[in-house]
Amino acid sequence: MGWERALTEGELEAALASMPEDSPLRESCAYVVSAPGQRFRASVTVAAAGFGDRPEDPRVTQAAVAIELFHAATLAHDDVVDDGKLRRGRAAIGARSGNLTASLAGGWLCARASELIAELGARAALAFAETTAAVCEGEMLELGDLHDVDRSRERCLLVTEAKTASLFAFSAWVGAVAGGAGEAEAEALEEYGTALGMAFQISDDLLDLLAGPEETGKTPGSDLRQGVYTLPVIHALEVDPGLREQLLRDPEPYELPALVERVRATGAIESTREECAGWLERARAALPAGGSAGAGERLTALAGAVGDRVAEMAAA
Amino acid sequence: MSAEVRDEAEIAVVGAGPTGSTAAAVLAEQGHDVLLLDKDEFPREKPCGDGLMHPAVAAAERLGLTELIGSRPKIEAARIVVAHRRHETTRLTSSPGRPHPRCIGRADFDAALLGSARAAGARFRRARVEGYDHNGVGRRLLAVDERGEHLVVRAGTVVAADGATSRLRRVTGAPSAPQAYAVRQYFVSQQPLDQVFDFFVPLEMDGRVLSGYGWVFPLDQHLANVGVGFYRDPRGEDPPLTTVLEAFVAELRLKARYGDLEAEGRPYGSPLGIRSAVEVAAVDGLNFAGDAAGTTHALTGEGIAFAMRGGEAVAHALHARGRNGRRATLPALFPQLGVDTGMLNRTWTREMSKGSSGPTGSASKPFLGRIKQLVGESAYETGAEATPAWNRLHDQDPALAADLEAANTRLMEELSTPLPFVKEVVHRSIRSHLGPIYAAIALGSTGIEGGRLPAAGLDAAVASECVAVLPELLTMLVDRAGSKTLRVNNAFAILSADFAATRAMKAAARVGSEGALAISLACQRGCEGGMRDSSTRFAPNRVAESWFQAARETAGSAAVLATRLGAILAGEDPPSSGYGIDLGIAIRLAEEIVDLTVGPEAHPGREGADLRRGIYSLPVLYAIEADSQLPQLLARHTAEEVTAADVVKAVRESGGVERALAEAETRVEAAAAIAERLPGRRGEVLTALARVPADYLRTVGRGPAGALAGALESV
Repeated sequence: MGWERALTEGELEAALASMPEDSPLRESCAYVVSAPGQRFRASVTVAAAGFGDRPEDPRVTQAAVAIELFHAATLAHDDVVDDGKLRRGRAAIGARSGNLTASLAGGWLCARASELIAELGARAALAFAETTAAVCEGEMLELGDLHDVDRSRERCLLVTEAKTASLFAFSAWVGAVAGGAGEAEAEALEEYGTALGMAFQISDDLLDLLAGPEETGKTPGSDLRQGVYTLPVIHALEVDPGLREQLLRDPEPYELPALVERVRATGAIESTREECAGWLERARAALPAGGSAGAGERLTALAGAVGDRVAEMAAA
Repeated sequence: MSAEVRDEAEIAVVGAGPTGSTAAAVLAEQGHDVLLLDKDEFPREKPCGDGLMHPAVAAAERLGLTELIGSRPKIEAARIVVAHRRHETTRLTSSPGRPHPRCIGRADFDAALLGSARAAGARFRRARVEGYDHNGVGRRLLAVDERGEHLVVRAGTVVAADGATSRLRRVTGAPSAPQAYAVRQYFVSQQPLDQVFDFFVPLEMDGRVLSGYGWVFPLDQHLANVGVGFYRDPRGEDPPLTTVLEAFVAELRLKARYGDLEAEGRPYGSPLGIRSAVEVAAVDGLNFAGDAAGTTHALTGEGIAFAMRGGEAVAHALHARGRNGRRATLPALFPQLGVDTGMLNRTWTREMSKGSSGPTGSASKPFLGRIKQLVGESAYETGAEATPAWNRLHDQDPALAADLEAANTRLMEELSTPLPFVKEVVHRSIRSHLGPIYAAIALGSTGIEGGRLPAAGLDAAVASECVAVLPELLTMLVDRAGSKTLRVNNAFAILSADFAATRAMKAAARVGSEGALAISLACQRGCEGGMRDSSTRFAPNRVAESWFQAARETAGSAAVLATRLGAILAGEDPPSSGYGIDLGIAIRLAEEIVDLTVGPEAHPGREGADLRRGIYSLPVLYAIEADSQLPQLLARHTAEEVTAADVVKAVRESGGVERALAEAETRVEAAAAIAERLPGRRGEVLTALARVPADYLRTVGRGPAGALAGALESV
């Protein structure tokens, strides 16, 4: 793998301890937080701290925990928006306990994350608040684009930056700042984070289109079925005009495999992989020099991990 | 060289349709020298549904057209007919200032409006305006009159009301392609027509569902205005307008809904004045209004109400400009216009094409239901003025009330989301209760003199109000969202809550890291409280203490947050949290009592909403303590065997409402007592604000339902 998980499960669970024992919300928050995941963003935070003079500062872990709490919250909310039934191989919180519970659990986790970040100071608090606002706005923009067969590449990339890259950027930046890095390093790492985040989402979009539930933990082709037209589909629409008509007629689930094949036939997968690789290159290039033992290597490895996901897919 | 005719006016109005004639009439009434220009001779035909919603009728009455209005069909209801099978009927009621809609042929209506303008003193000239020159001395309109001669009109200022295909818009470089078109034809119907507006969805052609609808409006007992309107495909791959109309009419004939239909006259079609943003004066001296400004509603295609109100607004603004230079404010007047409704259109269209399997009633889609309510109204308040919270501040110091108004404006700006109608739904929710009370508490807690509020004061106010509104937004989520529109409902509900929460966090962070910490804690408590409420739904064995705990966690935390944020700005210690908790409980209690007891006049469509969702508010819990039969009645209400009114009667009879009112008063007094001990301005303002829930209960109690009359002694 080349990069280690930065957080243990216990560290996330521990953050829930501040909730009163008798609160009916406790169980749902624990469920959301316990979903298996790679804690990718936390790894970015911890690795980025290596560029500061105190990478072992407990505030680095605190920031990493906050970020993963927030990320878990966004997944819970995404599933409400998408009416998703499965998430990471288990029942989505909304499907399991109702949408209101899912929203409240996500809301609590986000607020807890905000509390942890607030202890890092006003600047971090504001940056986090701006990140959460960007994520939400990205989701809204994406919702507004549903079923829009004329959705542009630029629009798709704009949404990707807002809803995903912004959090990766913050993860890197806050890790650097909590670890005591200087302005210039923090900014460079923020840029790394943005580029990494773009690549990550693009690879996610490819996975959604191509991979099966064993890999994604979600039902396949869900983006397409919901009307979220990501980069590969946008490319295909440019090359294959008949696809537009087919999408306008709102395909049934059983038509999806044929639709995916049609998208493949336009070379959309290759073109999207190239886009992804381009962002990973930008991420690597943004990394500053220096950093304590292995910090740069770990961040490069994280970029490599994203690249690997895509490479495996394309072969199929 | 042909002869050039000249004319001059203080104000030139281009276009004598509803917008222009209204503007001209209002301006002429106020003594201005107005010249009205139109390329047509009146009366003339106009492609339109001929349906006038209540604001248009009210505006027409203001211009003296009462006789004409009275002679035409009074519309009692709006009916949505789905796939020629199912109906959804909405009664259209009238009240003072809100007359019944009417159906009046445009030829007659527009001619009467023009007559009104001329009677008021406006001059009329038949001419087609082709250009506008504002570079030389003064402003000149370049036109061609009825004899084909060049006409040059010099004007102090120009109202551009020349419609959806506005030439003035094009020549001043602010064009935008029409997005939607409509066509209508008159038909004589064999069967007598109901006095309703009939809307038909889906609108289909060649197996494709078009983004729009068909309509049948009654001009009299046997003459119908039949038409279709829809959004064009941006790539132009649509069937021609008249073909779609023919298909629609053929379908109507097939279903024999109106008996036989015989065409009278030919079809008339035109673009609709829908724009992606309502644009006012793009150019010096030109004031766009009506369809020329894009004020036709993107979801309903309704244009006349906005046209006439826009004409009035521009006229008033121009009249006032002479005194204080204010510009016309169409976008502020119509916030529901000029929004991107593309996704709603596309989702709805797809749903229709699948035969709409889900329930159509708005109760099943609370958020979308609120949007539908807003969309159906052509006018509503967007400020904080005259709300109970504003009133108390105004009594203290008008400058403080102005600060609250500024906070309200900022709140609306912050809540301008990429999705349409979100801020309007939030605002409606705030306005229909106590007004922005939490914002007021934050402002009052600064102790800062009215009119001297720093920018961060607005942040404190916005953060507090956003946090307070979250529970209501989240309760608009539904479970088992099978259909697309139900999913969209949920998406709107949760994303609007998230948006409000993130903006609140940003605002609080601007107050400082203490602010960020305070809001984090308040939101956590709020979520815990929300869960406490949610997990006790449909549980008649919920004890009152559980309600109080939840109220402390939700409303109490929000009020405490407001006091804390204000105190941070004042550089002082916050008041004891007892103030916020007691006041928060009083606020929530007041809202619940009103929601339970007052009928649809105060909160249309909301009566019994809590009961339906199994939320048993404190009056109900108190009633259960006194009446052991009540849980059974509640169960029967859930099973839809008895109405909400039956439950409310039982709750009242058992003393539940009275006891809740007494509790509210106790909390109000407790909060006031704490605030009275605070020194200075802060103490005064917070004491006054503590009384707002009592004010609210008393004001609403005076309404027609009289549910709470005399229940509270004057405070």
